[in-house]
Amino acid sequence: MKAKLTLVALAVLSANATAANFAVPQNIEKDYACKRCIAPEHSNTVGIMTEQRTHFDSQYGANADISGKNYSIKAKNAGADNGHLKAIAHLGDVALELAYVNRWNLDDNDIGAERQQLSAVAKYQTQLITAFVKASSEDKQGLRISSVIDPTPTNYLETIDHTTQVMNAGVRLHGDFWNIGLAAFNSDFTDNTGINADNTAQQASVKAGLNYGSTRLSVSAASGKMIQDDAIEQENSLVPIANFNGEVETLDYNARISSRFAGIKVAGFYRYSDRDNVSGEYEFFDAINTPIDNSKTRYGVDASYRLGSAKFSTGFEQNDRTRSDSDREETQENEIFARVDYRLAGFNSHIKLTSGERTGSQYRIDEDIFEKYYLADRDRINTELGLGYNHNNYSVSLQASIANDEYSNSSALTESDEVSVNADAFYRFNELLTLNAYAGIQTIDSLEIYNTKISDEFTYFGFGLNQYQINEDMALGTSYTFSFSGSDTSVDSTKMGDYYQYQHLAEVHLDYRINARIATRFAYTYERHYDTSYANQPIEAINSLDDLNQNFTDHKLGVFFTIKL
Amino acid sequence: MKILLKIWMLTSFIATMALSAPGVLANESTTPLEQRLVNKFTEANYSKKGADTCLMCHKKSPSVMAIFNTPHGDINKGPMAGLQCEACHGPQGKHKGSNEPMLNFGDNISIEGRNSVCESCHTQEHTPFHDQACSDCHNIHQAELEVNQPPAQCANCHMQQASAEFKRSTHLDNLTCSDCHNPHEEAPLSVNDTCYSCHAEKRGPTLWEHSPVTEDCTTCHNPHGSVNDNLLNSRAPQLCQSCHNQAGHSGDIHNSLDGFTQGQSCMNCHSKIHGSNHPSGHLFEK
Repeated sequence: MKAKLTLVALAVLSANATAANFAVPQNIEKDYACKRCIAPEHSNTVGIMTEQRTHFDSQYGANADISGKNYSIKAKNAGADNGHLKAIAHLGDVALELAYVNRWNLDDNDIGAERQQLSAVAKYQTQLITAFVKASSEDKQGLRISSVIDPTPTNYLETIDHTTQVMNAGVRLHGDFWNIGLAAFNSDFTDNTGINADNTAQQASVKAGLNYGSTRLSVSAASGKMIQDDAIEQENSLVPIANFNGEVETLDYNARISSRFAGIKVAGFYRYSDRDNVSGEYEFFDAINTPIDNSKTRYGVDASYRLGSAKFSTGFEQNDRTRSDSDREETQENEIFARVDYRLAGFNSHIKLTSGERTGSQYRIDEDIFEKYYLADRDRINTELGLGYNHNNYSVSLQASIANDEYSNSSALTESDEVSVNADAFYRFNELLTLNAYAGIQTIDSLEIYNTKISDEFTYFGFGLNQYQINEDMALGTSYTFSFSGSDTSVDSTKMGDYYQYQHLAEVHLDYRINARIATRFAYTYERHYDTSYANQPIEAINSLDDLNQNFTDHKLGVFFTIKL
Repeated sequence: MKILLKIWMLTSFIATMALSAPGVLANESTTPLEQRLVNKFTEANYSKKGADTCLMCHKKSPSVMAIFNTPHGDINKGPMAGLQCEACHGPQGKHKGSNEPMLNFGDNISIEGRNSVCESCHTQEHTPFHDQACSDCHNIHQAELEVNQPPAQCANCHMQQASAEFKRSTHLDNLTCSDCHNPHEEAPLSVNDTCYSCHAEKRGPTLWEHSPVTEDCTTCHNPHGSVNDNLLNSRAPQLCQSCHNQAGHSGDIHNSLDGFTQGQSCMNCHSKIHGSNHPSGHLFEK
């Protein structure tokens, strides 16, 4: 009640104050004969690029930035890793879009995967209606680490060869203060190697929104299915089914409202999500499979009030979950926060306190077994502090937080403490020369039963220096980042060994305009990467993979040519 | 009772801050600059020549001129077909010569004040429940959203999440914030549905399900990044042991280099940890 009284009192204090309204006036006559507001002519450009690397594969790609009255084509390093291409054509109210995206990432020594996605979108848009149909197909190929018991545990590299095809369509009607829409998708996943089961997912949703003055309301509902009907391996004659015929039905409701008046903003939300696994239950020779249902209900309110140079916010959130076939079938979690922001001239600051608590239904376990950490009672406290200063030519900002999770005495994870500090700064020497710098540290210390201590540490720092246009034809830039990720584990005072990674990344580039039509960029990147894991040492008990530690230096030389058409 | 105690403590905290901060209790919800601008808007002293007057001085600035390459710079429709620069920055008044302030979309204008400009045209498009001004993320003078430009504006507030880009394992090496988050969206997908949009093989359902996997991917993974491989909140066997402290194996204290800690640790045997489709897969071994 105190919280409510205080907010009401604050509201009464400023009952006469209204937020400024700078809406664009519609009724002012004007008849400008523009002389200076002429768009700089858009230059259509095409280009090619290559990056020659000493440790990784060299890359070749194409760039384009072409636009006409009814079309545009944009490509960035298309053909190279992580390159993309998009072409759009406008035919009256209809827009057609084709896109290709490549994503490549490396998980470990030469172990990674590449995704290639092709998509096509047709969109129809008028003042009243927006409708779209989108089709996409994504192939993911690469390698990952897997294991098999044969008869001793054996690690091996497993092939990834996935195809996911998605059809998505929707229609939305929109008026001045309302909108309502329907959408649906179908997604088919195929594992071309047959390792993972193929599956299909479908969802239909309806969404509506209402704006009334500064009050916004939005509601949505979605109903979906996830289906998996792959053949079950007939290990022996006792397997009761030939195909799984598995199905999960999902149901989601969302509602959200927010309103602003007299410097106060209030918002509330409600979200319900249900997963109902309607798959069959069968008796196998080892056990009976039990489909798992769960549902989540989240709701909350928050309010903020601006008073002079300060803003006060507070909020409450409840997060309740139920799950079947579990040691604890219900958990209830609540969280409350208070935050104060204060600004004075270029200085800004905030402090935020958050406190949360998780409880739940009776925990059904034997006395000698500890509670699972994601179900156990937990008290959470988090304090966050932000400081910043902005000036025309420079800015600095700092954020720090301290958090503590304390679990019930009978939890397998007892405690977790986190400290995080992040800072960045920006300095503009002049119109053409800018410096930005950043640094941070994060530690997470956890304590488990059997006196197991885990200390995670993450540190990074770096800077970027950009000199725009040394002279009319030349610009220069450079950047450097160092990062360290480490995790130390000790069990009952026995240290487990090294588990860390560090990286130096330095880059320098030069943009040079050869003539009015041809421009080039030369870029050099140095990467020093090292990571190690004590788990990579071979032992007799398992057939592990060869050394997975990464220890490489990569030099990358990039050359880019751009030609104005 | 515990929750009431917390509400009381947090209220006291706010009240203490309110009373101790100088000048906070001035009875105004508009900033001083905002008050001056309100007066200027009331006077409505617009330039007779529109953008031409502004560009006499501001033409030299590339960031000002960049607007003509964006939809807002189209002189046939939108602000440039109306009051031009003054449509968003307010009437010129005595700006030229006396340097009277214009609406600059900086922090010295309230969120409501800044958004009132954008919302004169875009009310139906966006429902920003995010408590931010449109211009905090959208750079109107450039065609691209700030989120697509380094350094991304999301990082201004979410520094800790953004710094995960430099961690041992991360999603931020080739994904941007907007690939998973939509700050305008009033009904975002549930956490697992967002993950399934790229990791479709995980949605199943499988014959044998692992309860925390079906409930919430973030029970074990931090989607932004982690100092552990595979975005794991901690590494195996410790991650597994934060639930399965007594797994039935001989010696549950795994403190030596053996089959429980080396290679893929628990996943040396329980490799199908996201769920198994094998008739003998109830322990996620096949």
